[in-house]
Amino acid sequence: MTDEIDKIKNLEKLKETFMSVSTEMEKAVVGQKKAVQHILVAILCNSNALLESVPGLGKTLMIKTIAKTLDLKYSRIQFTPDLMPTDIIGTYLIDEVHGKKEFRFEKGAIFANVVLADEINRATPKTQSALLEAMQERQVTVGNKTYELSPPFFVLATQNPIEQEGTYPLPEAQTDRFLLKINLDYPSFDEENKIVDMMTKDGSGSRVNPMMGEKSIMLLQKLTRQVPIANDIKRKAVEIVLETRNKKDLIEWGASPRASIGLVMAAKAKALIEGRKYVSLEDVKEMAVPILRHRIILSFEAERKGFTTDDVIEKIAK
Amino acid sequence: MDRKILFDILKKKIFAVILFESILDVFLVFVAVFFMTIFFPIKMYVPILTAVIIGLISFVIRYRNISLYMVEDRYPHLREILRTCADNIEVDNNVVKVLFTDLKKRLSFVSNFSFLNKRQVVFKVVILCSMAFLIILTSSFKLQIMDIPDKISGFSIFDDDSPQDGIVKKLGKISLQSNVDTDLEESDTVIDILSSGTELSFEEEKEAKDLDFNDLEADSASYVSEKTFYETEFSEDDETTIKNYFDKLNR
Repeated sequence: MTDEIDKIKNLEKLKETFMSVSTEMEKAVVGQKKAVQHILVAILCNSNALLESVPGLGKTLMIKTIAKTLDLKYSRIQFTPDLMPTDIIGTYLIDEVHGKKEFRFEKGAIFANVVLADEINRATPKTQSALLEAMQERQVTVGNKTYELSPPFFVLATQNPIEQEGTYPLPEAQTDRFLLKINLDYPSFDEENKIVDMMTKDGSGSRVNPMMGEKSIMLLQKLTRQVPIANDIKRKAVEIVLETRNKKDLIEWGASPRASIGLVMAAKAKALIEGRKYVSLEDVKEMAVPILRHRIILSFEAERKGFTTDDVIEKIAK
Repeated sequence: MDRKILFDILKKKIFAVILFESILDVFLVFVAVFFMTIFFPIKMYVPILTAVIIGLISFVIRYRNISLYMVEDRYPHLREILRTCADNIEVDNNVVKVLFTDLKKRLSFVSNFSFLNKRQVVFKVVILCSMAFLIILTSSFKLQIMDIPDKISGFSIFDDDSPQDGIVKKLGKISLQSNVDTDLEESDTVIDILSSGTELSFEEEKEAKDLDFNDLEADSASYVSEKTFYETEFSEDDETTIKNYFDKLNR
């Protein structure tokens, strides 16, 4: 791990570091390279991601593999309608120690580095807000005590777009707290062949080796903030977000300044992952889609014409 | 990183190119002004001075206009890194330091003469050669439009105020052998002609006009008769001398 930190400090071999992470991930996860990259971007930005996909595309496997590759503590919370906030953040239990009864705080599932909040839209708003508050504050308050969540802390919340009955969709104010929204698509024919080969043979489930650690991730998060950006590219990022508020014919509600911050940070993280020490215009244009797709509401006119949020964002970012 | 270091690297690269272009401008201006000396009486130091002054001005203007945009135009793939460095000069962190080092390395691969405007240079060289050819051509055919002073200066008749003095210089001091006493020993050429008129001075002539001409007793030796004047034959040498003199006058 010390070698890894030295490599990162060296900066010249960053691209090699991320490529080795990607190669290690391919042992367990087939395809979905863009999704993996976006998750890494969210981790480097010290933020969280929302992942929307139909069941069976390997969301759990993906996040589990990332956690193992980055050597981070992993936790999974399956959201159901009867899930309580205390199930997430933890609760006090009465314990008997040396004949004496005392309260002991039992940490909840959220006390991990990487948390998979599966089907977050199935839990009640009260439970959702407990998670979202912890995400925002990076701490949990139970009773009159506050417990810090150890860094790095990353939440990947998932949503199922087809089973909307009996769900509690996250309000826009809450989705705005996620840095990006990742859409998973079905794998290609070759990829699916490979998945079948991998999962149906004896000894399936490859072991991935840890490539980084907590300290490496925290160093990378610091370096991400240090990546310089040219003024005209920064202006372009803000112009894209402003355009979402001005384009009233296609967008009813545009993105907030949080989106501008997120877009610049995501572009920096992407540049770092690709081994560059500066942000290019292509980084901004590419990251605009996952950053903005959950922060804008299309107008009726746009929906009538059959535009998706991705189409509108790509049109603005050109 | 000091901005100056970045500009110093750039300036060194472009300096040779600017110098080359300025020298080319000097030659071009010199040849252009020199070409005009054929038509106008211009002293030699004028084209040299003009060329040097314009060359210096051109060099200074080009040097002061050196900027990162020159590199961006020639190397578009360096545009983003250049602009990022330019906008983050004051930022001091590890990533920016490494970025500047990277930029320095990339600039070292940038060729000096990639900043040369090849089309412009070729155009100037063609103009230079054309003008040089024209100068040689006009010199060889002696197509001198305004060289009358030069032509005349060969005969030197107009060198001085008096045409007669010019004649004297060419033929030497001429004496007209007549009854008037001359100092023959000082003459270079002696034309033996008889004077057709009186050799009276102006005062004497005036005096004669005032007085009745018939009252004067002219010295018979001071004039000859009309018949004698027109029937007198000159020697061949004298004739040749006079003929040459009038030929040169008419030229």
